[in-house]
Amino acid sequence: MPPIARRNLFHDRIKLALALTGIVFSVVLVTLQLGLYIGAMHNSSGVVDNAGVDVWIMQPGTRNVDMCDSMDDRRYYQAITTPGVAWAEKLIVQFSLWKLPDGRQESVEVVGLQPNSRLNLPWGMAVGKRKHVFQVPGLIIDERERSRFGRNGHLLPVGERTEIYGHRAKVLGFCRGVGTFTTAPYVFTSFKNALDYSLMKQGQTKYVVLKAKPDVTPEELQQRLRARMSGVDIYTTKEFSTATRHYWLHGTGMGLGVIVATLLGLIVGVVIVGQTMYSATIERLQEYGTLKALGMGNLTLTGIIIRQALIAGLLGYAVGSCIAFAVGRKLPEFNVPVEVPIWLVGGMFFITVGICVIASVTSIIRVFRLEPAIVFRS
Amino acid sequence: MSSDDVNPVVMRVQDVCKSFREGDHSLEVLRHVSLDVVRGELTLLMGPSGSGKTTLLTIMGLLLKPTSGRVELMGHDVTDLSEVCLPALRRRHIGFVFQGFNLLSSLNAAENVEVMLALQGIHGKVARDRTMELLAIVGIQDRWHHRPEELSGGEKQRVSVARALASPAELILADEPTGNLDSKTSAQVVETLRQLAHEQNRAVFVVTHDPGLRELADRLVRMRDGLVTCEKASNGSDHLVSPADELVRS
Repeated sequence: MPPIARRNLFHDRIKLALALTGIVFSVVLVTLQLGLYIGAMHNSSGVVDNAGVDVWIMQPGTRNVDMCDSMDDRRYYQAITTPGVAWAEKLIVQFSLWKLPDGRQESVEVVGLQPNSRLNLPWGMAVGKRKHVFQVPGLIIDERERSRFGRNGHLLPVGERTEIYGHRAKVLGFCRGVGTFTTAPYVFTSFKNALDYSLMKQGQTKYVVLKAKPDVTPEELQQRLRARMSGVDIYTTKEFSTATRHYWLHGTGMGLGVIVATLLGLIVGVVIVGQTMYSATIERLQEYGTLKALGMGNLTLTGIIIRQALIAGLLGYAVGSCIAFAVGRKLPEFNVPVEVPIWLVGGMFFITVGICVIASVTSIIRVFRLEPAIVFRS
Repeated sequence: MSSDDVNPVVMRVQDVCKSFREGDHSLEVLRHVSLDVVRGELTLLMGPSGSGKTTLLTIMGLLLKPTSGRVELMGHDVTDLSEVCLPALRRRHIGFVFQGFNLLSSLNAAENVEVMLALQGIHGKVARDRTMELLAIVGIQDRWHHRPEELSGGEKQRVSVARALASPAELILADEPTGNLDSKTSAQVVETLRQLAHEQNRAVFVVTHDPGLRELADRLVRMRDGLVTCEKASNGSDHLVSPADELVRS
């Protein structure tokens, strides 16, 4: 069979270009929206996922890692003596205020680590060393925040002195790829500094985090801790990560906004491909009627229409996914939490195919209903 | 449906009526039309506009069902066959030539013919060779790579005829095949159709307004007001088929 679908599509290059523009736009939009969702999801639970521990103990009612009441650090001693614990640490995660050189203040999220912490925080270093966290009054912040926290439009340098909640602080390094869901960046510092920066008292902590011994699963350790400790919430890392993601993405309007934008992108894609396919079908109704009169069955005609939609969709996908991938790699440099992993680009292939098939439905129905007698009507 | 070599009647239309609803009333377009289309003959159907020629052709092409009456193809009643069966029948037994050519605009001349071959299950080199043979028969093999928009009216109609030839159809239905052509090209196209009938023993049924084609026809059928009024065989004998023919003559 001659390639009717391909020829129909390429016959009018201008219309094809317009259709492809729409499909490319849709693919880019959907990919970046999903990338934004993935990025926001990873950012929201980054500290939990990267800390490298198995169980988290916290005040009851805590719904996410960023907002938690303080608790007495005797919980740490209770926990560490539980059978199956390899090691345990106290951890502070608390919003605070960084005083900029011009006197304005910016929200930050202080992460306080015990001396010689075994936690994998911060998890990517760009400038300086992790051990600088433990120097007093040292801190490490993500490199993407250097312009926001810099002096007079200059980038924030290593060695810059500042104040957090009225306490001295000194920038000793920059980490990379450590984002947050909120606009307040993580500031990694020592536990002692963090107590000051968070207006917390000695003898308090936000979390007690534990690593299970190799022969103990996180769930087993969780059960043992629950049997020994009351008046606290105890989560495995997986549970706490999920709870944090759920809170930020579904408990606030932010996640819904991203989901709605993604759906809009999908709808735009379906409408654009559908409209293109439908108008192409209507333009060629006489030709489809001719094919029916010549004896072509509805299924073969359906195949032509779907093939046409798929070719357009795949061309749009090829261009759109390349653009989305490139943009997705670039945007994080501007502090936009977009992640476009390869599996998402691959997954978009199936989404695009789905869009094309759905978009072909109206055209297929039209051709199914077409009476071949149309060929004798002038 | 097997081809019947004994029976020369390829299509038989018996007492066919067709009416369309127009608002509250019914418009009767065909009234008790009966007709045989025979192998090896070029039959011309003539009549004024609105006489029901195209409706009859559409019914004969199995593209429209009659309101009443019977349509037989190769001796089999096909009047009430379902829409599922009809495409296969059209594909195997009926070829079409249209006034407006009805070529696929995005395909070149050869591909337009190949579509018909592909519908018969003929693909690849065999299809390409056969296509070039068919285009040679209608005299435009050197224009095979041109799209319809790059062909003249006569060339398009020849492609259309070649496409009809690509089917094994015993019945070729042509609707005003010369309607958009000059007289010289018209004569060539009708001559090709006549050769189809005589040399390939097919039944060719042509609807036309062109009185100049009458001499080429083996049989002439006249219609008026939905009635077949007269059939004239090539030997010149008139056969009055309806009292309405008197009206036509007068």
